[in-house]
This record gives sequence, structure tokens and C-alpha cells, in this order.
Amino acid sequence: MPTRLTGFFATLDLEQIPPEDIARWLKPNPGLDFVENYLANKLLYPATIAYSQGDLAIELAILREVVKRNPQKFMTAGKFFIPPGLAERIGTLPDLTLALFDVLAPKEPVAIFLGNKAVGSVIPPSTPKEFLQIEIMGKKYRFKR
Amino acid sequence: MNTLANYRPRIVPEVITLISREIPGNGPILVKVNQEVNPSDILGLSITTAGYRVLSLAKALGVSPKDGEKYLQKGLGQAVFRGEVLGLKPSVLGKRSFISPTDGILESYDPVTGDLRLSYLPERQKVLATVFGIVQKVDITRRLVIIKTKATEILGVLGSGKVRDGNLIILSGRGGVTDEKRIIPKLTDHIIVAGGLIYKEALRTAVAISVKGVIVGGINASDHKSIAGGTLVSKRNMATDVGLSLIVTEGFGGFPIGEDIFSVLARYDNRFVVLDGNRKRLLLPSFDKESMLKIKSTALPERADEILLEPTIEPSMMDLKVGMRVRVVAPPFTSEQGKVISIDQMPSKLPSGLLTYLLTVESKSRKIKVPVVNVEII
Repeated sequence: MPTRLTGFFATLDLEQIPPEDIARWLKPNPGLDFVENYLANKLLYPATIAYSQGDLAIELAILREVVKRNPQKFMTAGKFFIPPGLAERIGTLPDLTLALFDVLAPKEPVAIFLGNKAVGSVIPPSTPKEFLQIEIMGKKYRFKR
Repeated sequence: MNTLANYRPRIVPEVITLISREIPGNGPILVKVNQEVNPSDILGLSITTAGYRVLSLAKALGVSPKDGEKYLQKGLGQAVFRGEVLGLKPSVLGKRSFISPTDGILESYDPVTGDLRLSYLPERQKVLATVFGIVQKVDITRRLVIIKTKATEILGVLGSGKVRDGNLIILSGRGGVTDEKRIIPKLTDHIIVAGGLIYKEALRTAVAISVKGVIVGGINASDHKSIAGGTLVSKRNMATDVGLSLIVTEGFGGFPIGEDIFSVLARYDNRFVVLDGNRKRLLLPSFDKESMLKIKSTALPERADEILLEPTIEPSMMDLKVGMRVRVVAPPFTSEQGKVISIDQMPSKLPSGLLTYLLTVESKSRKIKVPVVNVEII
């Protein structure tokens, strides 16, 4: 039984991710000190969630770097896997799917699994002019990528 | 509905604990086990030698090295004082003398080189108990006196450095910023309260002038890495020391020291405290004579050394209830403290788009709504 509330990031060695790599995903870039302090506070308080859009962008940037370092944990055989601990903690399902897509960049459609439950699909754009289409729990989203 | 939240105590008042006082050098230890001590009582004498100086006696007197010793005006082993004539050689033109440049003891003369070795006079210092308490153990080998005392314990979120003690100086308000210009020689041997942020350059200066410790609300992660063995968050049992002990009370970045901790620190301005950076702990021994009653009536286990090394209280979980005091641990209200006045029964959507349970915290100046997972019970 856990002795304290924790979070997905607590299971990862976040110290190994250079703040420069996280800052690359952020526009505007809030500065390396800010990013490194945010990351370090996440190590102290892994159970916290993003209150603002700005904080959410940093959380998702950290997630993208985690995915980049462990792609096999998040995608195999045409499926995106979203650990249940991520949903509504690091971001919404569309946010998380988008973060996975940015890093894993599948060329073919993939199914989205939340844990072992299929919750939707991703249709990548076939040309730069097309939209990325995500369908989750019956809702459709379109993003320019 | 049960709502769990992390619990991290920050102030543990009136604990009966042990402190260790070192008596360096080779002077006598003057206390015995079970002896009651007051802050001004002398535990022992610290007698330390501070090195030596080599003087070219033969050359100064213009004699051969093997003859130099016979012109010494005092015997080896004797004390001499600055300005005193050390060597004197009569000559046809008068007398040639050699004056001692410092106080010391004539230790030895080398007839091959003609050098005289003068050791500095030993420094004698009285080591005071500095606390009310009872001597629990006297470790002759390590020259430590371990005293059972009553203290308030402050627990930080980060720390580094071995156990150091000294008088506390409040250098800055709880939200102040400390740069290297504020680290001045009068802070040597003290433990300083450096406000809401201290910069790396200030820490370097503090090490250079032998400041013993720093208590601060926040520190930039990159600066913390440089004094904590290259890591952001020190791992259990991983002790580091750069010649300075540090505890951070709030987190990474600039944050005012919490009102709860700062108000306790303010009462200890210019009083003796013990900072254990590696265990993120500051001990504030009671300066109330009445504390002896509780010290006497509280028994501690025999194995005193193990208590000194026991881990500090780790965060745990508990049910969050209205009326509890909490501290916010994530933006945008990081480090704000207050009382829980309500806990929502339905989730709300945050500006980030996340759906979560909120609670309302009443701080000194305002009411704020924050996610339950973004607070810890204090």
C-alpha cells in the first residue's frame, strides 16, 4: 500500500532529462531556470497537476521527452498506449494523444488504448496541408500539424 | 467522501532529542554522564595547536648552522613572545640579535639547516553546553558530549551538508533575496536565514568565509545541484557536504519562507541552533529553564548514537478535513498556507482543461481555490 500520494512522473528518472530538451517544446520559451525549477519541483511533489495552460504545456513537454526516451512503452503494432495514471493528471486524452503523436509520428492510422481499453483512433495527415484527426470517446478533434 | 492528501510536518515542537557537542583538540572533558547542564556550563576545554613557523636563526645571526643553538636565549620547549630576543651573538661591531616575530614555543632546532621551529601557542577555548539538558553520553575517543535536550524541530523539503551548529542570524525577511554582497565577515561561524532565495555566488562566498549554514525558502535547481552532489533531490542515505549546511523550506525557485517557520526562526535570532542539512532538519534547542522538567521526565533509548542518526519524519497520507492547515505545493499559489474551509464534492474544470476536485483555502489575506492534489497537510 502506498504511503504517500504520488504520480506517473514519480516512477521515472526525470533528473536525466536535460531542461533544454523540455524547453524546446515550449513556445514562448519560459527560460531554462524556470523549466528546471518546474521539473525539480515535480520531483518533490509528483502528485500535483497543472492548473494553468502554461503549466499544462510544461507537463506535456516533460511527457514528450519521456515518450522519446521510452517509445516502446507508448506505441506498439499500430496502437498508442496511454497509461491510466496519465489521463486527467498530466493532460486530457486529446492532449496526451497529441503529445504521443508529436514524438512517435506514425504514418498510418493507430488505435488509442487507455490501459487495455480501446478509446479512439488517430488518423495522421497524408500531406502537410491536411489536418491530424483524433477521435476519442466518440468526439472528433482536428489539429494542424 | 474521503479525500486523501499528503501530510508533511514542518514544525515539530518540543521534542526531546539529542544534540552532539564536539570538543576539539586535547583539552579535558569536564562533564559526566547524567550531569545536568545549563547553556553557560563548560563541557570541556578545546586546546588546539595552530601550526608552526620555521625561522632561519643561523642565517640571521651570521653563524654556521651547527653553532646556531648556542646563541639561543631560551631553551627548547620554552614559550617566547613577540618582540622577545630569541638569539643573540656578540661581535666586534656590537651585538647581533634575532627577535621573535610571534608568540610561540621553541619546538626544535635543526643543526643541518640552521632553522628554528617555533610552534604557535595552543588556542584554548571553552566549549559551552549551549542548551539546557542532561549529559547522555561522553565519547572520549571522538571527543563528543551527547546531551539530551528539548528542542523544536524544523523540517525542510531539501537539504545538504553535515551537522553544524552556531548562532542564528536573521539576515533577511522571509521573502528577501540574498546575493554575495550580503555575505559579510560578521556572518562567519553563524547559521543564517537568507530569505526566499539565495544565489550560487552567495553560497560560494558563504563557504569561503566559513558561514556554517543557510536556511532559505527557495533555491534555483541548478544552484542546488552544485552543492548537493550534482543531484536535484538528494537520495536517502546520500550524504553530501561542501563545507556548508543548507535547508530549503519551500522548494525550487524563489519562495518566501513560510510564515509558520519564519515566526519560529524569528524567536531564535542570535540563539544557538543545530542544522543537519543531509537530513533536512534544523533543531532549535529550548532556551527556557523550565524545559529541564520535561527533559528529566522523558527517557530516551540507551543507544544514543542511533537516535542522532534516525531518519526524519517522511511525508505520508491522511484524510483531508475541513479545518486542517495546508500548504499549496504547485503553481499558481505555491507556498501559500491557510486553513481548509471547504472541500468540493463535485469535480471542476481547471484553466488547464483538467477535471479535478478543488478545495477552498483561507490564507491570512485571501481565499483561494486549488486542486486537492496540489496541497499538503502541514
